[in-house]
Amino acid sequence: MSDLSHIRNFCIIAHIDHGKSTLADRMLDATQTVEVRDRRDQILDSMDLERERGITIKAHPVTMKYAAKNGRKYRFNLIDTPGHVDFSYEVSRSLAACEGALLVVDAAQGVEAQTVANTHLALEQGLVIIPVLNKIDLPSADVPEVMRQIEEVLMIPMDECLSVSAKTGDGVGEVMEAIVDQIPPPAGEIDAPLRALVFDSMYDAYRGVITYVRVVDGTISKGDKIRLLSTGNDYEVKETGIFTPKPAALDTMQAGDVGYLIGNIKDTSEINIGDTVTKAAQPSNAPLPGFQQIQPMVFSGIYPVNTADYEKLKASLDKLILNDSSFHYQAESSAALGLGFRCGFLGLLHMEIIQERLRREYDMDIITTYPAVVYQVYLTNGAMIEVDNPVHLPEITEVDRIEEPKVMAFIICPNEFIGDIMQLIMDKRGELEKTDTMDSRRVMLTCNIPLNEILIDFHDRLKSISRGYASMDYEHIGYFEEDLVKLDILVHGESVDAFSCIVHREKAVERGRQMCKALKEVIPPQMFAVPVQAAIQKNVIARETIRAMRKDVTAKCYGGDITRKRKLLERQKEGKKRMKQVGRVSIPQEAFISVLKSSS
Amino acid sequence: MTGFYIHVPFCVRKCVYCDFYSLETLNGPIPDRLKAQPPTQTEFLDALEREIAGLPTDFRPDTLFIGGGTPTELADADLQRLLDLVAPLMARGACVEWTCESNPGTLTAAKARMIKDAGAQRMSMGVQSFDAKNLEFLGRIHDANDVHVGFALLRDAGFTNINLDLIYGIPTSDPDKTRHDIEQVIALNPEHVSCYCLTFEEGTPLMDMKQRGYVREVDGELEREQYQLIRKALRATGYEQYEISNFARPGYACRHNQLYWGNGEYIGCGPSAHSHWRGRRYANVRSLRRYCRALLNGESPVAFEETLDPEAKARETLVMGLRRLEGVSREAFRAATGFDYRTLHGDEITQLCAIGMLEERDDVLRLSEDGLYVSNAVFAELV
Repeated sequence: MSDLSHIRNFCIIAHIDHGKSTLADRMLDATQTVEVRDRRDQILDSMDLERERGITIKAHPVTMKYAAKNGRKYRFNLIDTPGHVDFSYEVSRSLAACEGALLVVDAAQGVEAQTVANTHLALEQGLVIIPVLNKIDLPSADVPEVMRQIEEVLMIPMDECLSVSAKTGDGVGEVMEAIVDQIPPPAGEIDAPLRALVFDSMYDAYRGVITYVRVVDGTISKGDKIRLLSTGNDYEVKETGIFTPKPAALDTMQAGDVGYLIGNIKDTSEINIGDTVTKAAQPSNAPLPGFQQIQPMVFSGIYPVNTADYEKLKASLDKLILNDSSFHYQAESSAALGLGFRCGFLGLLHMEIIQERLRREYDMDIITTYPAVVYQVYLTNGAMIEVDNPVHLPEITEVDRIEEPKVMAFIICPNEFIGDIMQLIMDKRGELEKTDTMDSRRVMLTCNIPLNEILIDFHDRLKSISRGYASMDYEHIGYFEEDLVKLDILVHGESVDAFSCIVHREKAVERGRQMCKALKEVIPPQMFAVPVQAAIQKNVIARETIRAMRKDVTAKCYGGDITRKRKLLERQKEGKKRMKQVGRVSIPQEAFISVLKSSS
Repeated sequence: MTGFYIHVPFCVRKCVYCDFYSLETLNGPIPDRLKAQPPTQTEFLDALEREIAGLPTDFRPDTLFIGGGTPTELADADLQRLLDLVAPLMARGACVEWTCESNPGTLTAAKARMIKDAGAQRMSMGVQSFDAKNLEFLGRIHDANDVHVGFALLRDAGFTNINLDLIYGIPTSDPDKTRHDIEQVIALNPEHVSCYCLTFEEGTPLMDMKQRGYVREVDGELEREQYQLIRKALRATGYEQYEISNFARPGYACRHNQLYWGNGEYIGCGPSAHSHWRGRRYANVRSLRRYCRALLNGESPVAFEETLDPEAKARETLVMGLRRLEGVSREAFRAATGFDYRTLHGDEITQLCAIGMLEERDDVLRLSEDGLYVSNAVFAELV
């Protein structure tokens, strides 16, 4: 048995802008991991989107060598993880690859919502948590107050507190020492059969899939035949190594190490995060705990604006999924929008990222439809089906009950906005569970709320109510039965599939009115009056009427220019042909877009 | 019946809504004035003379319409020359109707007399409105008083068939002004009234103003109200509406324009003039300079032509025919085009009848009262 006492595996958890990346940069400086010529800010966040938004989307491990004050040399493996709830499963696997976590809190801002959610995740993984107060150089920093919040809100005892300024580097040395002193070394056995935890993967156009692993037991070397326990697939290891943060080949990795392996793996969909890597020859029969298949939580349709771009969109999605196997898609066709894809995402941020990458990196003009959650529909025959598209909801007579996903949301906001925010929570069918006082000016509201309700404008409204001061995060808490109904939209008596949605019965009238009103604005007058109705099982609950076209007469026909007149009429006819016919009503594509698009 | 059209491409000033081809003679934009001078009216008449001389020998027009532009913008001598050019052609046929357009701002007693003496029986005068604001907005060069004076001149010259043009749906107008306009027209007691809805045409200053946000199109509801008001007032005083925009005392419907709606034959002369002759539609070049150059070089001034296949032609005939309120007789349509309109557009016709836009009685198809207001939308289904 070899000595693992020189290894420390840890991650950093923090709210956005509390200084996670800056602290990581300082640690890389202190250990001289990155050569001067490669230095830049936020060095671990490699995607443009990550750097722009100040968020971490993929896990970014890095191995550092640290010479401690006790004279010993240590190997630090820092796994920079995404902090967003969308990626909470991936985050939980990254955390599972660690023994400890640095909890970074902005000493001027205090504990924020994402801090709470991520601390819960770290505690669930049994990590040793080292609280670090950052930005102590700011005049508004209030160290005792933030310490109190960490103790009271996060329930982490504050025997001693590390205070740093990641910006100036002040206190970073103490953090390094605390990592050595407080975080336990890994507890694996080098002689045991190989077990390595897969905590992320990426696709490299030249090298194929790079699988990120934490070796728990045993060793792994170039040339080994390995097996992935969840799929039973075997591969040959072509390279192993560590991140410096660039991949650097190493002949062998052993228990306690964090690094990567490259095998003959074609695409990332073959790799399941949380899976266990073992050796094909002497496999371990004990998979590492916590493995789950990732399930998309939010669904939305993605369609090319120009129907001719369908193949291009498909090729773009095929490429995107190489790098992000947590995203799902399948072809679907919409009566209104033509051929496109039903896409499943881990959450809203994930959805935005995919859509943004399609636009930016693949130059696609896309229409995205209203996002929806996955409902669990229990049928009268006892079976349960998952419905991610209202069109697929069975007849009401076959449905026993419908359950929807809910989340536990943590909202931290200044006291003066409590009333308005509670109103918002109620509007969104949320239930307040408890209220905690954070400090003299802020409270934390904990509430359970349907995921569906926070999909659209919850975050925007929260920010606007609180003038940007409120922060929110949430955890999934499972499925609950609710009185959910399918809302149909009828145009001139004909139901239009693309506009159907599943809503809570109490919200149906409001939603129905909104939809009817929006459609009235965008459907041009026809030669006859057109009723637009919202209905639940054929019972109309909202209605608008598009008045008949009042006048469309052209004037002069002098000089005998019949050709021009005919061409004008032909153009008018062509315009109508391009519209979608619903019964006798012509609806322009833009009407569908403006009503269906998520950003409306 | 065969028609003859002359396009006189000059105006004192172009109206903001007009997209017919004409050149301003008063004060064009400075860059235009700095460019080579456009052909003069004499040069135009020289070219026109050549074009007329080259017309088919079997072309024997029964109707003539001298339009533009503004025929009365021509100087007396030029106008006389124009009339002398067309008169021999009119002697070839029956000459059942000879119309000349006029602008109250350029009409004089001498010109009215000259036109009458040449053989014209019918005058058309662009009134558009009696409201000073409306006239100013439209860019007209005359006022309401000029209309009264001009109309009297025409009557004095002996014209017993006069048309007045009116425009409704003007952004500066309202139902009261429209009512006043139509009352004024009726008080003059012309034989024929044409009422057009102001149309925002591509490339006109009016469209430009709209795109820049200076004007908005009048709401459809208001336009419909004005149209209704005009129709009601004219019907109440004995005018018969025989086409979407045209009203006449019994026996005074314009024969020339009926050729356009009835798929008849006509030849147009002058820049941008359109012809429909022996199954071919064609049009002259929309430039006075190129028109003159072509004719003086002994070349054809035709810049566009098309020959439609029989079915397309039949559809066009149906749509144009439906502009007439008497409608399209199934039998006559079959005889003229070789097609049954139900074979061409059975489903559409059934649909349009079902929603009350068309009516079919005794094998005659016509626009309904409601269909009249939205005729473009109806025609777009049938073209």
